[in-house]
Amino acid sequence: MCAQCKDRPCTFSCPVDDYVWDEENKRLTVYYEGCLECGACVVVCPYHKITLTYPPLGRGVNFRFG
Amino acid sequence: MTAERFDVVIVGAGPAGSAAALTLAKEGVSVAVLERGETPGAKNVFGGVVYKWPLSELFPNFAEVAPIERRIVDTRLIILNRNSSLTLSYKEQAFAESSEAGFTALRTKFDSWLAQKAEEAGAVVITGMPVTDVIQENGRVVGLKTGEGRENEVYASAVVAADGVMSTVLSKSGIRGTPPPEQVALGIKEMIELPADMIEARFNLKKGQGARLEFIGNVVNGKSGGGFVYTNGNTLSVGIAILLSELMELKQKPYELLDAFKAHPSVAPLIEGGKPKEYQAHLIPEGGYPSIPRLVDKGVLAVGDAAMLCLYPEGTNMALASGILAGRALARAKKADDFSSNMLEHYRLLMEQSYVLEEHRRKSNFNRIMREGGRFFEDYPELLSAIARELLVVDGVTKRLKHEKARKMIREKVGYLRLARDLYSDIWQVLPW
Repeated sequence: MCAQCKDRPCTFSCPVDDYVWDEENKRLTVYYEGCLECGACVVVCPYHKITLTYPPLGRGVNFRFG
Repeated sequence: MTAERFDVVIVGAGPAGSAAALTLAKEGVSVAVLERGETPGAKNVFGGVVYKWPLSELFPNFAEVAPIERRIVDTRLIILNRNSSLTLSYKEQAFAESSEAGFTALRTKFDSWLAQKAEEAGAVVITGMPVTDVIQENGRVVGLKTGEGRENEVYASAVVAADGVMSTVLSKSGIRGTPPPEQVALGIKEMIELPADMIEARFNLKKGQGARLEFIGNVVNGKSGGGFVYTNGNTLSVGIAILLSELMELKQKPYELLDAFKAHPSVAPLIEGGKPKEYQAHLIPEGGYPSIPRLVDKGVLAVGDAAMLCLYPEGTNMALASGILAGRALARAKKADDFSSNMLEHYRLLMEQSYVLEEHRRKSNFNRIMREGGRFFEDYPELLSAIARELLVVDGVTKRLKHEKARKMIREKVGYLRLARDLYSDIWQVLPW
């Protein structure tokens, strides 16, 4: 499905570049470790195929400054 | 956690959730708040500024007890064009004592403080606890799941969805799904460290005083959006927001837009020499009134950004107000020992009569107007710059001729009719005040 996606908006909407498209191997890699849990990817995917599952136990991003 | 039961369970310990929890706890209602962050505020982002109201309703002495970064004395509206800016600024020293024009805050400190107040009043606040699903019976949400198994279930007579713009509670209940890209903006922000005395020198402030800079016009490459610079104790909050549907058109990386903003000649000198300490991003509701979901449905009350209540430049106060009203409606239900839909509807009634929805109704067209075209984000800023330039450059051409030229620019760029219509109605939908 990602191979058919015309614009792949996830690859330029993510504020931390978590979505990387490999044209040669036709693969999308998601670097979820850097995720800021903003939800942009969920909103922009034209196929509505991205879901954001919050990590348990308060893991994932934790803003410390504000 | 064994299958627990409370009168009310609130999902999210942001301003909306904690305001509801505090209101309920003070009335003796058994209430729990489930927060997915390590601490309240750890997963929250805002600009931002907190205003006097309705915080003053919860804490009449908020100016003394709330965790304030700086009290805003100077509010600046800056219309950005490609390489220039036009600034309108209001400054009043008296705001320093009263905090009447609002104050800057940090979400980690502010949300933790407010949640703590709710706990002191008797609310149970559980952190590190994301909600994974709702439990429904006969078309009504009767509880929440935080994992698999009975020990991860909690039941309540009513649930408050205070879990933000991507609300799990509302989507799992079928009340509101993922918002479309036209109804949200992507906000990205940097916390930039600068010594307090340097902030005061640069922004012309006395100790403890703050400046609030709102950037409009051409901030994000001619698209719908804006920017801000706020002064905190020893950091600056510097950020931009762009309507997500327009970011998709631009096909540019969001941080490229933030970098362009930071490099603008009217912004760069303010942050020079500062050390970036943190990078944050979050989605901001921008749909306005038409995007607000059913406030009461299936035993769920929607508050804060979950109810899409953020209305630039007011988000935190809308969240606090809706939380307080939800708390009042649910306390009333508890007193009558009646949590039926009819009783819960009282929240919606209170909201319809409140400042929150009154402001939303007044600005109900802003999303449509923003999306209609670049005149507020390209044409008008260019026009203003061109006129200012023409009038300010003394080159021997008489003012009469310069005024004529200015009028010609208006005619050619937007036309008198469009300008008149905009000044009469549309501009008041997109200006922050």
